[in-house]
Amino acid sequence: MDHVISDIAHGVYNFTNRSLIKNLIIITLCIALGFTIVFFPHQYYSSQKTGKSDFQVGIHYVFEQDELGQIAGQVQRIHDWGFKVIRIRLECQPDPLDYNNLMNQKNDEFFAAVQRSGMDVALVIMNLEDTAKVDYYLNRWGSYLRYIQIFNEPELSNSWTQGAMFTDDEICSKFNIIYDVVESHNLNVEYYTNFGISYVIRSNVPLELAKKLDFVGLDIFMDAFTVTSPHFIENLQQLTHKKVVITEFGMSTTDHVAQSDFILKGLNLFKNMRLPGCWVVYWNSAHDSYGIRDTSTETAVGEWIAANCN
Amino acid sequence: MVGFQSWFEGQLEGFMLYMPPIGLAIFVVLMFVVEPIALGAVNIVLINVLFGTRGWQVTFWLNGIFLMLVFLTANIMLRTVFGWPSSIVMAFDMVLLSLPLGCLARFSNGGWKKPIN
Repeated sequence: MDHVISDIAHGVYNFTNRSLIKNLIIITLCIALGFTIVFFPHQYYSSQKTGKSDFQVGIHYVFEQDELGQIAGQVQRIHDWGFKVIRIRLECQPDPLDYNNLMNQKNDEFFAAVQRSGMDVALVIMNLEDTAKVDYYLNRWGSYLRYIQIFNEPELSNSWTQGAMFTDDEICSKFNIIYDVVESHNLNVEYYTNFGISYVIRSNVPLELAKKLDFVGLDIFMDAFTVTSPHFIENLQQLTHKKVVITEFGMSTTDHVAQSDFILKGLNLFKNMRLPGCWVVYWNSAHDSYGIRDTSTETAVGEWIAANCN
Repeated sequence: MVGFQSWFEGQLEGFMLYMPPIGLAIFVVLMFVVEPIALGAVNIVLINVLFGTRGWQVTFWLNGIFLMLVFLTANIMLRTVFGWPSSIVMAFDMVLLSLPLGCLARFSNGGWKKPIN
């Protein structure tokens, strides 16, 4: 028996100990290893079974698109599904002569409803926002906020016109202007900036901005980037030395089975990676199909939160 | 390989900040072109010295890429499964993976017995 095994071992050794065969083996193994490096983390985290955790699921609510009378009910509904954070955009009418403008009334209505529900609010300050408007908004509603997002995917942002990218200096100087305005209000909030996957080619941007942030956001869309997201998340953590939250995650489709599937897979992945949270886009969305309100995805996500989050 | 990896991780921030995105490009070239070539060359030199052979069976750059991929795969698996920081993974590499990686390095290439006729 030992003789047979020895013969087989020698046979394999002699066969593989030829340049051509060895080259083919190495090339095949290189391809296999390449795939393993790309897909292993996603496969591993996705296949894990973990119990309930403090994973924070949030959602972006575009309340400016709703009627004034709808807002309180929608906030309550979001709360009832178990979402912990509502993300909103900075929208208001800063003219003091127009104090009770409809948009301002919507803000009042929204923050009153949020106060009743006890959810955290994340405010998005867009890249070209007027400082006077930011100042007005924070004076009036700043105390209701928990997170403030300074800039949205700055590495991709346009400067003076479509296609004219912000230079690195423009991003940093404009960021500092908005940061100083926000900081002057001395609010009890955490600052963050979110980045798209394209931060990789302008990785100095998160590195520079993170110095003034409490955490960084990563926006993930499409299957390909969900599958490779563990690499991006680890890299962003390594670069910025800050915790990473998925601040935008969603799918624009009218196929709500595919949308539910995509979002639930992502939530499982990010929860198993022990990230602090994932914020879905959007609750409602008039101009595309990201919105999950009144679809089967709303129920699916709500049930997932009930089953997986404390 | 642990030395290379440790150096790259330590220098990542510096490269990223060096005239972006030129620093990133230099980093990628160093990590995925220069490192494999150096690894492959070192491996074949070691094999030739230790086993008294000449030349190589697998081109040294391909051999270097292979060794780098094996090392990266092992590290990614350790980090993912155990959630270890880089320092622990590197210690593990040096203490427990040195021998298997050495055997693999020997298997993955080899020269011809001297003298070549």
